[in-house]
Amino acid sequence: MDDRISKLPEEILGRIISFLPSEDAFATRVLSKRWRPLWHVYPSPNLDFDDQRFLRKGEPYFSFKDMVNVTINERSEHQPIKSFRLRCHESHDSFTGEFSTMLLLMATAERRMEYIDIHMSDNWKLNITCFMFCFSNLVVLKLKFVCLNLFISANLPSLKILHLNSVYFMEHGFILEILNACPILEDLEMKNISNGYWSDEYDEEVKKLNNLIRADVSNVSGYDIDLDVFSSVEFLRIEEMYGVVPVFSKLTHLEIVFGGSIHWCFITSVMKNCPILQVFILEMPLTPNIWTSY
Amino acid sequence: MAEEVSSQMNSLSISETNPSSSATISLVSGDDIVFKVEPTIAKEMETVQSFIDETDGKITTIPLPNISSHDLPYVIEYCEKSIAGKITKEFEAEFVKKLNNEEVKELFLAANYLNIKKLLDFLSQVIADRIANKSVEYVRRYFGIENDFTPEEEAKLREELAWTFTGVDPDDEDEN
Repeated sequence: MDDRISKLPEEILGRIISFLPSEDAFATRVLSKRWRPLWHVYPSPNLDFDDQRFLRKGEPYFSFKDMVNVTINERSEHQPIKSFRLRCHESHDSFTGEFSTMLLLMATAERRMEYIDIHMSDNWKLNITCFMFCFSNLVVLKLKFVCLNLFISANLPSLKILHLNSVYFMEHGFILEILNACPILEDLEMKNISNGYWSDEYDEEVKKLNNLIRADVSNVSGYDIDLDVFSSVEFLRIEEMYGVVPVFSKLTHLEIVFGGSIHWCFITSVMKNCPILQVFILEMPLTPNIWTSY
Repeated sequence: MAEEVSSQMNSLSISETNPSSSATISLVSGDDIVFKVEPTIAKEMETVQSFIDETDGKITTIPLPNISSHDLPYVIEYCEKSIAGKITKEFEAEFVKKLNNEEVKELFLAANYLNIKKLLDFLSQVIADRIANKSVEYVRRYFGIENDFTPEEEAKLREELAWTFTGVDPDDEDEN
């Protein structure tokens, strides 16, 4: 019985490999001479790397990094990468530069990518260039603990989900350009955004996101995004409020983190403009100065 | 056994007064158990359907010597759900829960033999899930792979990448 599986055509074995997490797909080359080339001939369009899974097998950390680089670099242009997921729990500063190179290579080869999810460890912020903001097929983009130092331009006509958590932007304008480049965005999460410097070059405002269903925006260091941008949402969690209060005709779930720029009168006027609201949550962080705001 | 099946086939095609396309299809497992299925089920099984097409629908009893009567019901169940458009994550989770490793592999071979793409993809994922995060030795045992590397070759292969990249010394990065 077992023999029969191993004797199946290579294409069928390759199919199994293509469903494996990238680390395991890579390890199949050690199984036997017949299996050795298969991971390369039948690569999965979905790359999924997690250093924890790798380290559990007792492999040294540098081989994790090598494996990521080789898996990507050895792909031909005809072997598209549809999704890319990278989880790094360990902090190894010396590898940062190489991952950046790898990501850049990936970017030049791949424009058909639909899904990117990069989650670095909190004390190892990955420096990457902003090439991925030009991937026109990208539907999901999630970044956590990532530094974006360079920015060229943004064009994300297919993007529906954008989650930016603990992301550092060199210049404050980057994020405004990115938001204005996502015309069909449905799910926006921005938390703990920081930036290097404030440039006067960007005086653009964020345009209204007409397809937005869910917005969760907190601790975004002074980006004063008008409430009107979020007016189409069904779920809204927000810490700061700016601009005229629009009518939230679809909003059913509202969470407000009290403090910062939010005043009681503002909350009242927002509530008045939510005709079908079902859930309202007011978060009260225990900081000494919130009561002085009103 | 082969004679039995063929005589059965003859009697069926003779007895058929109205060979309409909606006649049920008999699938005969390797251990000679007959499973009657709707023609729509047969359509899901490319191997079976092409056999029917080649004989212009005259033959409705198909011997499947590679598939046992233990596995065939699973295949039929999956195809029925598939036609009904009821392949959900919940169904798949339940379906796979009933199967041990040997059964998964048998079904995978059956799906491959019958050329049922959806089932093959699903079982590829199931097998991948069962060998993910396992050691090389475990995966070899799982598939019954004979390790044909010499110990030296294998050691080299395991270290190959590290060796290839020794030029990339993190301490030298500032030279770039």
